[in-house]
Amino acid sequence: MPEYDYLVDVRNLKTYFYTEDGVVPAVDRVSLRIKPGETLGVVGESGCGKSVTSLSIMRLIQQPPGKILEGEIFFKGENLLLKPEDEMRKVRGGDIAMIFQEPMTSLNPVYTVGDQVSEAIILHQELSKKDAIDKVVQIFKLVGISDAERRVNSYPHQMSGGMRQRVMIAMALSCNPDLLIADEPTTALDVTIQAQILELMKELKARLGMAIMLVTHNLGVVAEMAQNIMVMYAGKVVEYATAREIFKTPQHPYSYGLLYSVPRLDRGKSKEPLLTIEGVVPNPYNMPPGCRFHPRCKFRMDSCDKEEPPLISIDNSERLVACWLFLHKGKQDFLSEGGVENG
Amino acid sequence: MAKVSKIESTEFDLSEKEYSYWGVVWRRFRRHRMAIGGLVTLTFIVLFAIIAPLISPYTFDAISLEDKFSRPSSKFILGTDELGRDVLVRLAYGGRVSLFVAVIASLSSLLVGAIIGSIAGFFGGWLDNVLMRLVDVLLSIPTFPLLMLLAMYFGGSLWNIILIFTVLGWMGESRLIRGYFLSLKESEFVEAALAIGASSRRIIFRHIMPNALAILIVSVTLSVGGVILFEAALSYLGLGIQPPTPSWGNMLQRSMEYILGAPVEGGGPPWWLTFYPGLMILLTALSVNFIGDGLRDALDPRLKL
Repeated sequence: MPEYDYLVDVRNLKTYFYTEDGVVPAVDRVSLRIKPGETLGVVGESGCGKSVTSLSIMRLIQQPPGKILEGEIFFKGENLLLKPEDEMRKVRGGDIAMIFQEPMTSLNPVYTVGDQVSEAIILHQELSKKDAIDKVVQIFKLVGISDAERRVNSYPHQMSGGMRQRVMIAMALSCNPDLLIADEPTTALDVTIQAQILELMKELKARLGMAIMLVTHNLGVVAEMAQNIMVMYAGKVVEYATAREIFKTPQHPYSYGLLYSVPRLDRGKSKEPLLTIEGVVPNPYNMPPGCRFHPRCKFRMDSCDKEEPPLISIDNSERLVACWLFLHKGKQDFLSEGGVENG
Repeated sequence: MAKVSKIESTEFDLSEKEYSYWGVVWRRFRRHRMAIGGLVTLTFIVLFAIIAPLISPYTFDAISLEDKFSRPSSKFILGTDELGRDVLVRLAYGGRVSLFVAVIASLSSLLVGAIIGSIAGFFGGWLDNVLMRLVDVLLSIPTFPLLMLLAMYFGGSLWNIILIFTVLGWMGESRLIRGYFLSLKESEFVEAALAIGASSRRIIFRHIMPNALAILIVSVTLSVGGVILFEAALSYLGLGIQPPTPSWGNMLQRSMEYILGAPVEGGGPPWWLTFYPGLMILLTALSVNFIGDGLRDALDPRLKL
């Protein structure tokens, strides 16, 4: 057993962006932990800081304008933020790999896909070009690319979006990473291909045993894949729980809003309109005081705009929530209240 | 989300043959008639410049005063000049000089421009600012008088001319490359390359530069034509390549003294002294421009076959 309990242990991460218009607290004191082999789903609206969190772990935040101000990112017990750049390069692609949202543009148009995947292998392992290409063929077969021997010589524009995402997954897996960060891996794909890619990721995870940090705004995706779910809002963690708990008993009004703004087949025929979360994501240059969600919250109380709620444990479990409602009135049961004065 | 029972590729392969990137480029280029015409013409000119001096009985500087101002004949196919030198062999030799200057000067200014442009675009910040202000300054100096001044000061030897064209020719290219780097460094495939652990140098040379290659090639072909014309203009003013070494430009310049002068033997001015160098300059500049146009279309990755 290794000398660490958590593969990834991010503590109080603060990543701000300094732009001409002001300071954007994109990630504000975010902590998260991922055990080896675990899948963590990071959920939230666009601009809530989920991608910035994952880029911070890779240390790929552009600087300037971005800056990691505070915090620690332990990976296998080592603080990545203290590593020099050339050692960090070995971590990227080697120990932590990443899949991006846009398979259409994530591949360099002037090289064959075989070239690009083999580059990842050559950068991290001492293999000849020919051996690397052989390995690429194997990985292509693993990720379900048919006719792999011929496909390695294809250019990205000769492949469909789903195929390219398979290539990206192959590239990410080529060096057997311990952590795979998937930043909205299925958003750009159509629904049937989405299902295929998710199924592929699940199967590969079962076979290779890596941990996955799945960043998405799609609750269906995390429900399929993740054991634990972290909900982010405006750069903050608002709730952390197992997937089952989040779907059954969401504790933060925002999580509840997210869940019930999506139609679900298992909720039976309901005449009631879908829930919407009123308002928009706050202006990042000018975050509301207190709880950042309070201007949009249906359960707003007096204390909400005065002080920020701390992220605290529920029943001394690993479950966390940051909401005054829970602090003052204990565990909530939004669901049985029938969606509370819906609208 | 629905359960999918089997992971299987559903790709259908509709293409019969797969072409490599350059195969595709060639296929597109071939359809550009003007460009093909330009390529054929330029090939002939280059072959002529290489081969003619080797098989001709004359050399470019052999003076034979009794043959001066000979009309084109079977002895001297394109006639002779005021010193009885064979125009054909001088034209071929001058072609070597003019083409050499044009190609080397274009490539070296491209190299300088590419390096400066990629540094400015990739690293940005104050470095970008300093380099681009330098470009602005150099671009706001009127080129031709400066060329003349430098040519007068340093003398019109072959390498000096190349050096002068390099120093004054890289700015446009550096701006072009900088623009490419500015947009491509934000692209997802660069981010993906960073995420597999590629270094800055690798990103610049392996990932971004090849994407700018198309525009670089086009820019070189277009500047070749420009340099030939500029060299001709400098030579025309007597500041280019110095005699006895011929270049198309200085041949044209020398002929000006006679074209308006007294009729030569057989009547009329020695038109062949002016016509052939002028024709070569025209054909060369025209062909490289057509080739450049063809390449620009063929290399554009957004156009599908």
